[in-house]
Amino acid sequence: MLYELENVLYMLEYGVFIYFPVNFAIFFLFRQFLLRYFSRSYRPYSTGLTRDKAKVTAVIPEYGESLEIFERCIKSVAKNNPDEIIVVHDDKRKEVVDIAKKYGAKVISLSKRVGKRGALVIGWLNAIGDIIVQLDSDTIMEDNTINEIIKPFADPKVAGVQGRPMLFRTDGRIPYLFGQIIEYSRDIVVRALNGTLNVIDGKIAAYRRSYLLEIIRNFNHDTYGKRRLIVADDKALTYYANMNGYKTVYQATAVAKSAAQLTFLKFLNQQLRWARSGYLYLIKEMRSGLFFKMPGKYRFHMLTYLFAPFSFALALIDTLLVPGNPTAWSWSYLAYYGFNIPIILYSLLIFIIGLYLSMKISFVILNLKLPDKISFLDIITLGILGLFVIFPMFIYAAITHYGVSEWRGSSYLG
Amino acid sequence: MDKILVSKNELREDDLINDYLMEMVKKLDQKVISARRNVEINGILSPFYLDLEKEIRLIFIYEEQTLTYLNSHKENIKKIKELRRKDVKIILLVSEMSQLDLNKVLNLCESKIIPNVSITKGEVKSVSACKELEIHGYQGWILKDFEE
Repeated sequence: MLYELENVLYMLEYGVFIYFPVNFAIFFLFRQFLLRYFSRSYRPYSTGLTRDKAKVTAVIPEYGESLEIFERCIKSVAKNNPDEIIVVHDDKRKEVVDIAKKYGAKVISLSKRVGKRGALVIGWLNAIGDIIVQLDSDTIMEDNTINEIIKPFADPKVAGVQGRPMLFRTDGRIPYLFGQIIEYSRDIVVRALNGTLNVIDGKIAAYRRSYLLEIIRNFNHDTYGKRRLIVADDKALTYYANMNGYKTVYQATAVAKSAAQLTFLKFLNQQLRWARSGYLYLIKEMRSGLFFKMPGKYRFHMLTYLFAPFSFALALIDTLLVPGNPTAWSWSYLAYYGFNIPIILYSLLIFIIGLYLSMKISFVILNLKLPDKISFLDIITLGILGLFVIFPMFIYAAITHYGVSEWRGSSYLG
Repeated sequence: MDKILVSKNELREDDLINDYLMEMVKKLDQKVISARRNVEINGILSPFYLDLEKEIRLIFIYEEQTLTYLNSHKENIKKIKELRRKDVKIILLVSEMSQLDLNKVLNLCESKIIPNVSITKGEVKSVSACKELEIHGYQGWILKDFEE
């Protein structure tokens, strides 16, 4: 006991308790605070375009989706009563056609795998609607999603609208919680960036058909260097809308729920894909000059979001290894006195409390009201996975961002 | 397992058009202004109408009666060109090459020189000496008979 007290006193005296990278936590919380600040003036469109003034086509690209989820998806779309539902699929299952036709959808069965981009283009060309509502084949709309998502199109400058995606749990709790926190956090981000979104998430999105037709050529021949981009369709659609001077807006009242990833590994795969497309399009935006024309809050978000993992890595290196830093002294202390369990446990305790507090404060700053109860253990697990699995993966994604041109996953959703 | 493919006579008009669209999009070098199915333009009923930046494409399925129909509307086609100030191109989609009667097809053209062309399945050909016409040989198969 006395020995532990002596250790604690030593740590207090030399400041070795600063194991937690406080500078990173401050940076992280400051970013959340600013995003919340930028989002304060956001209001969803309460009036706008109505169904009697425009035709709406719902386009659903399908490949390898669970039939049960696909049926729930298309049933929910049919309940929204669009003028037309188009399912574009290039897998070989007759059941997909049967389900789609049961709910009055037009089915386009493609003879070759053309990828999600190709499937979308075929859907747009065939559509009769002035507004195309696009959703993933695992997304379930609420009853008024379409009526809500078309409202912003009363403004002729609006080319694309982001609905509000949330998740429903399919299997693993951790990928579900992680995904849900990301979606709820994105709600704040897109409120802040309303008008110039960084990405209109393909889970639930709507576009003016004339805009989609206008950019088919660019969309279908989207390249990065010599590589042809076949995924990141939602990033591309947002990029070209911003490039062409259109507005990309958020309609928080157009809610839809998508299937959470089944396993943490699949969730990681999805995050890797998103991170790669994030870095790739950031470079594209910089090269084309678009990045520098966007509002300051857009640039702030992109840089702090995509470079946070690097910032954390630097903070960690600085905290643990840079000579002269108090924690680095503790390593020398450990090296001198050997493997000291009380110090390690104490440091771990400080780390866990710091992590918990940072996450909790972040939730409060963003005013996240998640539908699920998140325990202390959940927060710690998510925090540790975020810092030590997702963040390194982001760094890996930045290094291999050109890999976004590769096809990953067994379905359009990976 | 391999796909079960449909036979040619089971192909629908939609399948041929989508096959063409897939191929067309790959090579597209212009903006698409408008795209509509079953459109009447200047008195001509077209199964698919594509208004591109530099030209208008009217897409038809190759059949004997389509040729007759188009030949009787040649003046209307010319008027679209004048009205819209864009070239008008007729796209004929054909799944069975042996059906193709090139002499009759070429009646649609301004030039009456019969070029030496052979079109095989899977080819998209502009007929030389006839810039108003493009023949699209069906490239793939649509999966309509599915595996159990």
